[in-house]
Amino acid sequence: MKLNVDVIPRHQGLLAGQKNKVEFLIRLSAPEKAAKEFKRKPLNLAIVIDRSGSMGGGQLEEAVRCAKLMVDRLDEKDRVAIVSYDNDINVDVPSTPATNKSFIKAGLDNLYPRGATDLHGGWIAGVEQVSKYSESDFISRVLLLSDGQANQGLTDTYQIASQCKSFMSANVTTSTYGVGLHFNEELMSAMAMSGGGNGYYGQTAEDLIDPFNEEFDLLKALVATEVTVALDGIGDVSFELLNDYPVAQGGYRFPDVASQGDVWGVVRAMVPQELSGKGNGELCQILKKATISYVDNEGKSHSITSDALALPSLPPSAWNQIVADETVEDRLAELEASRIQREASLAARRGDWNRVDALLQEARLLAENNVWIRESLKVLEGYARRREMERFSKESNYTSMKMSRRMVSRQESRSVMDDKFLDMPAFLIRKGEQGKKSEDQ
Amino acid sequence: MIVVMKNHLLDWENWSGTAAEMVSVVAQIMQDIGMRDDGTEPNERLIRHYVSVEILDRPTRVGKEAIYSFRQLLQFVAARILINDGWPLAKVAEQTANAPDGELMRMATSYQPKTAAQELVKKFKDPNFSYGDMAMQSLPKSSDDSNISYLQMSQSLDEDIDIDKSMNLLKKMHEREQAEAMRDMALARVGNKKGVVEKRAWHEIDVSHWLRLSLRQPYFMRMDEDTAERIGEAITQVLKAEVVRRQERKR
Repeated sequence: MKLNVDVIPRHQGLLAGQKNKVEFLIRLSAPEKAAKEFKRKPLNLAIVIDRSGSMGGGQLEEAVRCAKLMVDRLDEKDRVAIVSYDNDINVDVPSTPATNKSFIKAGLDNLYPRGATDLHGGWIAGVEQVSKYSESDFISRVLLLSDGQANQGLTDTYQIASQCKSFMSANVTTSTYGVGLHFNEELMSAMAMSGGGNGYYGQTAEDLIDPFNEEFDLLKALVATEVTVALDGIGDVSFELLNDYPVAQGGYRFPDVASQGDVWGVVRAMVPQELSGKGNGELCQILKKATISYVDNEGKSHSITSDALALPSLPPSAWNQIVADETVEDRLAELEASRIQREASLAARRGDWNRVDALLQEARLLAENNVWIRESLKVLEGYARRREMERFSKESNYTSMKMSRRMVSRQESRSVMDDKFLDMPAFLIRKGEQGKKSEDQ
Repeated sequence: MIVVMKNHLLDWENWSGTAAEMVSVVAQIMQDIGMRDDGTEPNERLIRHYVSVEILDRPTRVGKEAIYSFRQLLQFVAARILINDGWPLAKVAEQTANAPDGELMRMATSYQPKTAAQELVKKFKDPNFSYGDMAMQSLPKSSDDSNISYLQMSQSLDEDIDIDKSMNLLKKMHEREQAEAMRDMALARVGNKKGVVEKRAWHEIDVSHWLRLSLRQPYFMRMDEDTAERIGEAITQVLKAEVVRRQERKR
């Protein structure tokens, strides 16, 4: 299955005789035919559940309910393991085909909240379970749920995130689910971003159902995994990817591609003056090609290349008339909003609310043409007004992550939020608030 | 892979024998299918234990001898695979005791060689593993002294972590990766295709205003008095040889 690759410049021209900063979008999508004839790859999952003392008060029961729903949605081709952890680690159900679901779900029936949080120990036990089948024809992923701060075993964010990245290179990806207001969002989002999965959170355990559905819809719709993009430029043109995708195997590791969604990255190219032409409309090449490597659902490795990107060299009068591409503008606005929200999250954590207010003011300028940024800001402004540090910091952090990494639906509108009753998979829906389930918004 | 494993097992389809004979047969099968066992060597006591916990069917009695069959071979191999997968003995017994032969064959042929991810799990769970090891492995090796790069990398990571733990570590990691990617591209443009930059820390000692000794930092740090004397002797001999060569040139 061959992915579609589009390279879309923000402006259709270079300003002659000047050093140019050129942004362009790289967009990957599955052909419509692939969506129709889609045969999904079987899943190889480990569901890793925090059963530390703080999961009491109904949170553990709700997490178990979500895990059981996940098991119910698996097919016989899939595999699943259940791991629970506090300061001890238990493999409640070792990796097994999802044939006898009542047997698997029974493994979730005897979990009681107790003890401390060896998050790393629990996670790596989950990795161990999926790793046996990670080179077979599966999508291998660990789903890690925690409501707390890692306080046993390895706790260093940098080291754990580095391990997640190593496993991503060995075909085992990690998605994380933070629950409540006291989990370590820095650690959980770092694990998801470095681990090639997704990061979610729910303010209450009931809010977890959306992320579980979202992840499951996504996993079932994946058409290309292990996606890397390498850029081949001209002369002294330099490139910077504005999304925070990790670097791996000689390129940038893009998110996996699902049917019906566009995976994207915005690249900023610095074009030196001598390559910007003479202003007579001649085409100046900036990008020779982007090489995209990925593995499809049948396990076949592919390497495809984009078209070159060449822009006409224009005099100032013509260059000033260019209208920026709407799609690229939207993605750039979301990336900038993402950066601001990330900074605001850190500022709130430091208690620097003046800085938070200033950043939100800055973000408002981006919201004019983008309903999602506008709706997200409303939520953040509410938390900022009430000086609710944990809620603000978490919502800001997770919205930021979503805005810089999300898959885009071509059905979505700039002015109307996605209605959940539209026929749109959960992973494509833009939520106004990440930490709450849709019906509460 | 599965076909090959099935053939190995089917070679023993008509086998029957004592516990002692079964030990050598299962050892052979496990070797044939490439199964690296978890450190438990098959032995007669283990076979009898598996019978007692109902993982294996009871052997038939022929006179005084307990005789095992192909079914028990399948049960044993299936059990070892399940135990390697993390199943407790009681759960293993549930799966092997009443399973039809076909199901046992499926289980006994499900062994897969270790994957890259499993090797990583083993590494990260090793109590002797340190993050420094990982940093060193990720670095290109210098031809004559990889320790230097390793020390510098470790120091810089430690500094990053100690200076400001609350900073966004992930962002820093991505920034570092992006910077490294940019560096590699820039190096390639000046002919350095390997992307390896040699970095060495030196300890410099000004013996007088006209004499400076430079020693690589790690060697200086572990130098003892004997080494200092040997260095002194080496310098003396090198200088003497230079003086002799200079005098010869003058002649």
